[in-house]
Amino acid sequence: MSTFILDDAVLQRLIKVSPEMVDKAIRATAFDVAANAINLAKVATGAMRASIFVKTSKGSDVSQAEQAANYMNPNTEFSDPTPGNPPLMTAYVAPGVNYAVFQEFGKPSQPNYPYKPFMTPAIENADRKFEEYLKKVFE
Amino acid sequence: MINAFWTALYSRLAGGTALTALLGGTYIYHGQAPDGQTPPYAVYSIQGGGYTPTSRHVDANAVIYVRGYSDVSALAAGSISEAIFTLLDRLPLTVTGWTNAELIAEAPHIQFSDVDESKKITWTSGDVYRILLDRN
Repeated sequence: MSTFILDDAVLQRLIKVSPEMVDKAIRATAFDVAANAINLAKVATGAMRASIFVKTSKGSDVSQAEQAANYMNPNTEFSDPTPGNPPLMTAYVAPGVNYAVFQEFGKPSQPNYPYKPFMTPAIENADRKFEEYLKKVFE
Repeated sequence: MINAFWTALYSRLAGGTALTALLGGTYIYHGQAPDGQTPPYAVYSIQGGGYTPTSRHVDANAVIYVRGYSDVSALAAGSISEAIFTLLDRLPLTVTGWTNAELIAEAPHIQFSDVDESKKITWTSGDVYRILLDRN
């Protein structure tokens, strides 16, 4: 009779470190999404573009974005629309100005409002990068 | 994106009797409604994505945003988006020159309003749909 011994040490190590590795890929992707969104955002005063921030499990640049948006336009009302601090393997990318929703989805009271989506295309463009980052962190 | 897709999408929406009854006609627009158009009406537009040249199977992968507008209430706008959802979500769409056209509603549902200078409120309610198309 043959005896097989399964050494699952490598598997156990992978299970343990996987969330951190995936989180690393998510963090990298989140900054790519923000960079894409900054490139795509329409600019009048520059406040909306400056208000785009990233929150990851390791920290955020919300306060810097708020300062930058207020610098571009002192009348800017900044608020953080995210649900809080993201857990591991989650990141938030968002604009902090309230009128960003009109730029992304149009203005209900103004049928011909010249909106231009910038967050959705930024996320769509990041799909392939996320796959690349995942491959890289698991290599 | 692909004109044949937009044509098929409009035909599907305009052929929805529950939707056109809510709108009072085929007040369905591509991109944006004409200046001065009063609600209720529906609008569809590209939101992101597009052709996928590196994929061997899916040739277009995009998201479109389809929504309704109302100056009566949020619920009225919601009824329009529900009628749109019934016409689109997970139902095959025939697109000339393409196969396997499929629309899938994705989170989050989008609903908001704003107030114009005369204090009139307009509500919108809609969904983002993933569209996947294979070339014939």
